[in-house]
Amino acid sequence: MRKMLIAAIMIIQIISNSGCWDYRDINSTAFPQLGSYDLHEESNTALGNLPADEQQIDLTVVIPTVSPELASKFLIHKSSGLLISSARGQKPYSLPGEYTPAFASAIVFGDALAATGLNKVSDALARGALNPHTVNYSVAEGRGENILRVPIKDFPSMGDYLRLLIRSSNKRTFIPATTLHQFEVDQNPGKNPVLPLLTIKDERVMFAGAAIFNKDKMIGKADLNETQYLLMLRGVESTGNLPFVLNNEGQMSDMGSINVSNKRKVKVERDGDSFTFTINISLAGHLAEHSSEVLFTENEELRTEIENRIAADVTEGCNKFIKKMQEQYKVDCIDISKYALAKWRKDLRDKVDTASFIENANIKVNVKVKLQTIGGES
Amino acid sequence: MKDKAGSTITSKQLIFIIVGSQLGIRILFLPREISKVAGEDAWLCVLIATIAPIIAIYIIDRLGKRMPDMGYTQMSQALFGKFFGSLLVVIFIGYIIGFESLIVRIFSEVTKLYLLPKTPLPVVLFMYVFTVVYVGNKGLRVIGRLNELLFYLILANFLVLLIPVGQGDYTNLLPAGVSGWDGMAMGSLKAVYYYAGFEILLVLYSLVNRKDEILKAGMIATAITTGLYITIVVICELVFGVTGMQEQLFPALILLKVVQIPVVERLEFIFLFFWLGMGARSAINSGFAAALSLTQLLHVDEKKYLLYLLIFIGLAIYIVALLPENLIAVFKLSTYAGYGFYVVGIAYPIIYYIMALARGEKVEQSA
Repeated sequence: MRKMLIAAIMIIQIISNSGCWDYRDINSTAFPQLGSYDLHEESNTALGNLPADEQQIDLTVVIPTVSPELASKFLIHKSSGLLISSARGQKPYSLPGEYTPAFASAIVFGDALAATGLNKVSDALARGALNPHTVNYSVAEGRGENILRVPIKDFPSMGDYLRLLIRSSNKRTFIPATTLHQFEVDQNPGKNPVLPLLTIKDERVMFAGAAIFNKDKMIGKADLNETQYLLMLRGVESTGNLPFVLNNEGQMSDMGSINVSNKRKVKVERDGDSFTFTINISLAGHLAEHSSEVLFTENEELRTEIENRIAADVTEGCNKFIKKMQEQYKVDCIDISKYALAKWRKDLRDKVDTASFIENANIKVNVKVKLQTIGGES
Repeated sequence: MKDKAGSTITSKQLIFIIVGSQLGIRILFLPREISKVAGEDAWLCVLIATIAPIIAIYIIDRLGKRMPDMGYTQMSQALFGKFFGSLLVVIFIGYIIGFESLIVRIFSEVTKLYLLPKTPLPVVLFMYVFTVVYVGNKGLRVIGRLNELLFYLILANFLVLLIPVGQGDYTNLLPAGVSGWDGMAMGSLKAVYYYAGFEILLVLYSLVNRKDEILKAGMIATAITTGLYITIVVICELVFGVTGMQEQLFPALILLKVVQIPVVERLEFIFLFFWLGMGARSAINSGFAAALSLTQLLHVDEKKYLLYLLIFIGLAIYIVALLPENLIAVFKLSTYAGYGFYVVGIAYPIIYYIMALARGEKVEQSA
């Protein structure tokens, strides 16, 4: 009797095998590789009874084609909706197969949309249980859709190209690499996100700098030069190339560049309502090249001269950026307020994200450069 | 030594059973729930809350030492008389059914959300409840061994949870004590609920073969659970921050979505694959305890009727688990389950012990 009962239960279990419900044919599934989110440009979809004054969103995706016999390796598909999931809901009208966004590796936001706030469109990605939080975010100068439509010859698709360009960009140069997760946690009290900024130049997609955010709204753009100081001040550990020019009695004596990695330490002091932040940036790396014939073995001071020159240049660049941040952006985009919160969280919880907090902060920068090696030549 | 329900267990197996009863699906949302009340001090609250299970286990041990070979039902009836003793056992069984049905429902919801989105909830629930009945039927020794095996898997799984630490920010933990006495007291009170599961010791005490090691085993189990809880709360605070964590339904699971490991790619699915066993474990342990108490209450042969009573308990868990409309309703109900735990897990041992002291030698003689 007991065995019969167990057998009966097991039979029910096998019949109701859960895999039956979740079976799907991979060949008939559309896996978008890359997506762009823009404010709505034109409507050509069945959008039903949406409020007329509601700003809609355009969702454009790059979907690799499965069959090797097809001439095109990917297709670009666009749909519109109130928000992202609603735009996805329009896809079955013009896109065959099951749409599964869980494998997208990068999202490009149009700058107009970014200025209105991204949390509303980011929600579909964060909420979708199957979506990874490692999808890379970026902002386009103009519409994100235009980035996706740039003809690509050297890579299978724009999805492959952007994935390699954006992912871990800070490991190759001073450009932030921001994932969905990073974008979310960078909106915690005292923090603000920065995203890589993309542009189209000579029919190629490339970095133009960084987009500065106040929580989820884009409020400014930093060019490539400013972005490298932004990353050093922000403490985003990066590796990149910095040029130098040495002058001797008004004349250029040497020039070249070094490859460095940056680190940061921040100290914060308080005097009543006045906060002083001291940011110590250390750059360590190696000499990549220099133009003069002077040998390092003969002129031991040359190394120190280069280190001091770069330290002075970076200090100047950082101070300029801090001034711009305090006067123009008026948000802490260099991620220092958290150190004040870590000491006086109770007092600062409501003040730390006000413009006056960062505007009135006294921010000092010290830069140290250490050339660890000079390469294989003397 | 009596050999009830097919077996007795060692004190080592008791450690794994207590850990298994405490550590399950709740760990996935524990960091959010505690940090909602205690902010940055959530990890501290988890530590402070340990006082409650330590005291309760100590009292259960003192109680058990007075009546070492009495089953839970016999003990209740000896202390409170047949009617009130039986009533207390029925409440205990009802609590287990209610509590475990919520645990199984949350686990099924997580499974459905992340692994089997199109499979109907009743089917996923059935998988778990069937496991509860099947393993429970194999007896306590098998349950002990299963808990031991799954414990080692859990440790391996915890190593996976350490991977995102590199993305953490230590300032998210500072300063300590910012939530104040109120926040810490509330947080600690809430954290006590996450130690629910050790009350199974009331039933298992008489089935452990070395009574002198039970207290030590209980303390070790609590220390293990505390260590793992604190680790997960600290990691979540580091990686998400208190504010960021509130946006995640299951922050401990989302931890695995924020990192990308080449080749493996999606860590959360691997984590869940192992974790599925953990989910059923708490229900297996408690379901068995409930069925065993029921056999004693009904005075029926354990070997003959344990399976049917397990099916009854499993069916009750299954039906109650299907009742809440959605996950939000389940979370709301879990607050009431928490109150149930304060009664059964904390108040029961105290009341039983006071009664045992009051009745003194009388009870010991009947034992």
